[in-house]
Amino acid sequence: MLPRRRFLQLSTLGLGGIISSASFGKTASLKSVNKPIVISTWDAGIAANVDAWKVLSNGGRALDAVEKGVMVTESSINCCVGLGANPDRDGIVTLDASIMDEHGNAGAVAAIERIKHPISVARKVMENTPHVLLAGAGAQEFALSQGFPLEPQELSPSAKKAYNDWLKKSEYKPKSISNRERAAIKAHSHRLN
Amino acid sequence: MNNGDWNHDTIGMLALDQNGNLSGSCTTSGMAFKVRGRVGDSPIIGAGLYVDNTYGAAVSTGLGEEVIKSAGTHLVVEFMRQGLSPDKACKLAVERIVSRTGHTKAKTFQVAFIALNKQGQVGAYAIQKGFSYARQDAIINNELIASKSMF
Repeated sequence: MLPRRRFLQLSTLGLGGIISSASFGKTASLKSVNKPIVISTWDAGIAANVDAWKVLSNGGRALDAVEKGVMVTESSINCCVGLGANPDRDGIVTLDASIMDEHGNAGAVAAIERIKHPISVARKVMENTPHVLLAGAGAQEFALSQGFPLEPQELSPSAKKAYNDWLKKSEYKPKSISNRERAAIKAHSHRLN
Repeated sequence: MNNGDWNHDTIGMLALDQNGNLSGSCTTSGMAFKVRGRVGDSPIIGAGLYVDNTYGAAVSTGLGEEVIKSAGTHLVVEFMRQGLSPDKACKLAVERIVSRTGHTKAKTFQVAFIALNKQGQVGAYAIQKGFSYARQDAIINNELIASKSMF
């Protein structure tokens, strides 16, 4: 019940001009649309929302907002998004991204390497190709054709340390997944997506 | 399991603009130390992200394999199309994943959805505690909101 409680608390504070009734947030009558609005996952969403809001609060398009927003996270060094993130078991960072607009158009890239902003490549797939999803080397080739720069193939310091720690406990190139590796995967499954 | 380790494994974002249009995005490096070539749900339309401008949009985070197998975000949007609130739609999609995998296995991984409908109402639901999402609009000024969860 925390979200609802907090929602109501906030909706009664200092928003008199905008929100005439504290019950607005609870019932949000179907005729009054709450816009613009942006939501995003996890703590990193706070920083991402800032750039998205710059677009939305100026009357910009939701598509531009959701691209600009997650680019903030792609640029920051963290475990799980962008080139500074943890690599695969061969030590290579490979990125996945997708985007979808109000017309039902969609674009995506999977397992793309050495490209800083896969979300923007996904948007180019949507806008400049008849396809929805490009993967691997072909996705990178497409990104280069669209003018995206090829970044150096190197791990961030935090990713390098995490990877080296992981290597100590894990077989490097298994023929099949062993129980030990299954355990390692499980141990890291919280970082999955 | 609620130790912060699950924090921001991916970023997914949904927006409704001044014109009332919806869009969404999702980006990730995937599972740490994954098998080379492994792809999760994030680049898969209907799994990691789905937008239907008539009804709503959803994005997921967590164990991508489980989201793919349930076509998770398409399911969330379908529930909204059937008239359910974003909150309820996320909850039902999580429950579907848990029923597919079984209660015991579901305790070992995290999946969460956030959703936004055409009226600008939001919702979220996760399997495990500890998931949060950030909201910015005229009502809430970029605050983290704790998601409800099954466990």
